[in-house]
Amino acid sequence: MKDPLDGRGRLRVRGFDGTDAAAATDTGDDADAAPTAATDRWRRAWRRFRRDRVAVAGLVVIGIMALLAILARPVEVGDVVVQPLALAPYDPAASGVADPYRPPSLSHPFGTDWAGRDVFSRVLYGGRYSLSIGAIAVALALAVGVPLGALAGYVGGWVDETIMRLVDVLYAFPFLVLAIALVATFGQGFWKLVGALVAVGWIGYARLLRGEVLSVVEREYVLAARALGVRDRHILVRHVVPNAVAPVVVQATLNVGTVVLSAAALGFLGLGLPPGTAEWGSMLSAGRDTLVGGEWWVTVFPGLAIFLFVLSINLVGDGVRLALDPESGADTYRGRGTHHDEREGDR
Amino acid sequence: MALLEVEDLVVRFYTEGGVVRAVDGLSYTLDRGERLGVVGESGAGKTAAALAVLGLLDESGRIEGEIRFDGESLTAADDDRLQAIRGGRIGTVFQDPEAALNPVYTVGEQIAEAVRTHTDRDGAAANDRAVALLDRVGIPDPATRADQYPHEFSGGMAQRALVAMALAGDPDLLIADEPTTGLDVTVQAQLLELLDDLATADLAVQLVSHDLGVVAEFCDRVLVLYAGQAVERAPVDDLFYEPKHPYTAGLLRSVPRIGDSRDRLSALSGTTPDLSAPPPGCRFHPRCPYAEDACTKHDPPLAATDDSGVHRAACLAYTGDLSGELTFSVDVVDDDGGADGGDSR
Amino acid sequence: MSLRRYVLRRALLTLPVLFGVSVFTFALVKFLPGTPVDYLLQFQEATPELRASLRAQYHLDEPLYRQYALWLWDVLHLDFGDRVVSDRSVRAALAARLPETLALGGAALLVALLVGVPTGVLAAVNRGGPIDEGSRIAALAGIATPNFWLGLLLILLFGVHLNLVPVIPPVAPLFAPESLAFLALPAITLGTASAALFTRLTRSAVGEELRKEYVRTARAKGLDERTVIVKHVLRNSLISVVTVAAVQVAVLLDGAVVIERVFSWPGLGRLLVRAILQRDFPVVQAVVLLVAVGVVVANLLADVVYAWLDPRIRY
Repeated sequence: MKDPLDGRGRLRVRGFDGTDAAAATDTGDDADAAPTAATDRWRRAWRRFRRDRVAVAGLVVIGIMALLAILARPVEVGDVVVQPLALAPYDPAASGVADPYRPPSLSHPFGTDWAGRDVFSRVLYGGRYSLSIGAIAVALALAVGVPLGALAGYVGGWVDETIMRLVDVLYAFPFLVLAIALVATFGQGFWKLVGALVAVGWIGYARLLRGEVLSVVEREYVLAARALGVRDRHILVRHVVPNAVAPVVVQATLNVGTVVLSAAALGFLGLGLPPGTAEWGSMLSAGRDTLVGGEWWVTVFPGLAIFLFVLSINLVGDGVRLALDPESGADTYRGRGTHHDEREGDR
Repeated sequence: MALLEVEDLVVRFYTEGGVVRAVDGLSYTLDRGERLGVVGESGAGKTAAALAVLGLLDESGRIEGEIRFDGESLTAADDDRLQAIRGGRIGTVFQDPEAALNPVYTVGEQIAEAVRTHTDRDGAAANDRAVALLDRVGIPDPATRADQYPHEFSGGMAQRALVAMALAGDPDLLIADEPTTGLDVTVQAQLLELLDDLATADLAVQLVSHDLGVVAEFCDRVLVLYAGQAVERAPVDDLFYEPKHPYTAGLLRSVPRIGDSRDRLSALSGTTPDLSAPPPGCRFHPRCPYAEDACTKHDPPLAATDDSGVHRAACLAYTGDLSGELTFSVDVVDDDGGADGGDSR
Repeated sequence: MSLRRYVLRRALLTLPVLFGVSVFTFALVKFLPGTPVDYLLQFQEATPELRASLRAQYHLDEPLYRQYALWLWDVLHLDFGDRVVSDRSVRAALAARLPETLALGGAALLVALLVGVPTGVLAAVNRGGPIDEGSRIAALAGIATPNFWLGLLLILLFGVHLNLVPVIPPVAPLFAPESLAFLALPAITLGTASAALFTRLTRSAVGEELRKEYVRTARAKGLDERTVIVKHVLRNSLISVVTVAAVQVAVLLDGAVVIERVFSWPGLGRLLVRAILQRDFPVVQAVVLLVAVGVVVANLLADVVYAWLDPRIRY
């Protein structure tokens, strides 16, 4: 092999006094450097979210639906009327406001159902159930799942083992089947329904947060805090959880849609709220029979309301994900169910 | 007629940060059986230029200029024709061999696939040929190795397998993009030995590297790229003992020796310019210790530095526009420390 | 060889989960207010003797762990007891319903994969193009649509207005042509959300794989783009699709419970819902257990396929 340098010693270049480059100083701000950076991150995320027009549109739709639900009928707390307006023309529970199965008309824009109830009023009012079930069930599931996931990830050992084995077992039950089984065991009603949805909903958050915590505790600021002798509880609450919770927030937003769909499905099956309640899913439970009779409006409008709400919340959830983790891109679409992330958590 | 002729090649990438001219007016030729080294810092456009020849740039990359292979225009060729040439008449070896192999197919299958594509061998005959190619590139026990997956190969073995794959179509030209980067010293040396063994009169090699040691050891001629442009072109000995461009001299400041893990190109002060907004005039002037006013205004052509025109450099010193003089020179220092003169020739 | 060992090890790891599942299912019924004996005796006069003999029959006088052991022993022998509402065995009911649900779920998974994966590939390859944008919107809509509502709308459109398909399932064996023809609509309904998910997932996985260096190697070999995508990129992308497909088994089982009601499909889901309304708890217990075991097995299966697809897993 011919090598011009072989056996000829070293080359030295003279007369070329390029000063050695000072290594480019790293001015990049470390996004996760400290808890203050974590709050910065949320502020930046909010700025990004506001620029996402589709997500903001979703938020606006949800806001309008919530407002309509609240204003549909007066709200009383105790005997005091705190919200006197009534946008819904009829009492959603009142039957016989018109003949049964009247097609949509000016006086009944969404028609009437088999009992002669005004479907428009029921759809407006039904938002109260779906929206509140979605929000409350997800919030409570977070309240259970986040502490358990944080404990499992941070404490480790037998605590981790116990919690995660429980999660593994519960994961074997499909969301709705488990909820149905719990409703069957504990009975029907608003809070029992919420309870069943929480009992199956926390699992996903615990698993997701545990995985995040496991990666966050390895970061320098946590190690530094530990070296300084900061108490574990303080580290966990102030340093670890704020930096690990972002994916959980994304998941929770998207899960509001799943929970609303599940609650509606339970209502459709007659296992949710008591029959006859103006809940969107329950309103569809007679849908099959009405279709054959040609009364399409009884089916179309409540379903459309569910669709619109879930679509909007998913758009918001997508926007939240992009805002919190702009690197992820619009690709990693996760929709239905808490089941999807189960593998990532452990790997 | 040269085997590969590149004329006025321009490669643009349309990115969010603007249009990046990764390669800007590059011209070179490569004869049959010749070994051309293309050197430069990362971001100099070496890889973009190599990929442009094969039509393998990302979707955001656009090519202008003319590329002719064996007299046939590659820029005008359709997809079918390009596919026949890729892997057929031009073989390619990339950096990071472990990532360059598909993890879910056996190494033998991946080579046999290339054999099937470019020869009329099929089935068992293609597999036999794959084993023979693995044997050819010096992989011991090739029949067993062919049935293994990439993750069972070491980096050096994987790179040999990629060389075997590149040889599947019996090519006239091998383009090797940083083939030794990231490999162990001894493995680097072995791989260069293999390439040296393969590059005969029938196989020309375009070796792209940031490692001057590798180029010095292997190539006949060297092309130095800076910021998408050729700044110096010379036979390998001339380039190393008599560099004509300040950038080349800067590159040479540290000892080019194979296996030296220091990134010797960083010995130059400053960094490569932003190619979406390159500096005016000579692109090297912000980092050049000899830069004058004129250098900020005139973009120097690749001018002859001697009567033969074989050794060319893109510096105003050779067009007579520089008032000062380039005063660098190369000493050869013996290992015991003595210098034996300024000019080796 | 090593694949077999991997599978064996993975299968052993499911045993604790299966144990937990059985305990949970057992406990579910134990939590119920009242005992099965109370349900059995609610319509007839209960003499203390009858009550005592029934309690003995249900082992209610034994300690809890022994009740569990006895129950598990029976379950392992596929004996799920008798139904409350009739004298038929739970096993007979499961045997009749399981194939129906498997057919529905399998057909839905097939629909989801056949629609989702190719669409996802096309979207990834034509990133930013009309197919990409269109599939994105369709996927968003597909995921947000309540499946039972979609089913009702499809019945309205194809069954009532166009009169193309029967509205109620034909009285015919499961694999008779008319049964399979009827299955199309519920399978599409059930598969829509999963198809949407597979579309997005495949697009993302293919997009990620396209950036990897082996793709450039494959192109540099002179392969045509179709081979590069199908043989090299898709094969690698399928690894993550398979993982999600296993997760979708749980989602599809959930959906089947609802869809079977919509289309009057005589599967496990309808059995479960009816059993709950009739407080037929042995059936509820058996269906829940069966479904959970099905999910665990599906996950195990996915891991096997995963290992088969990805040689790096088999160590």
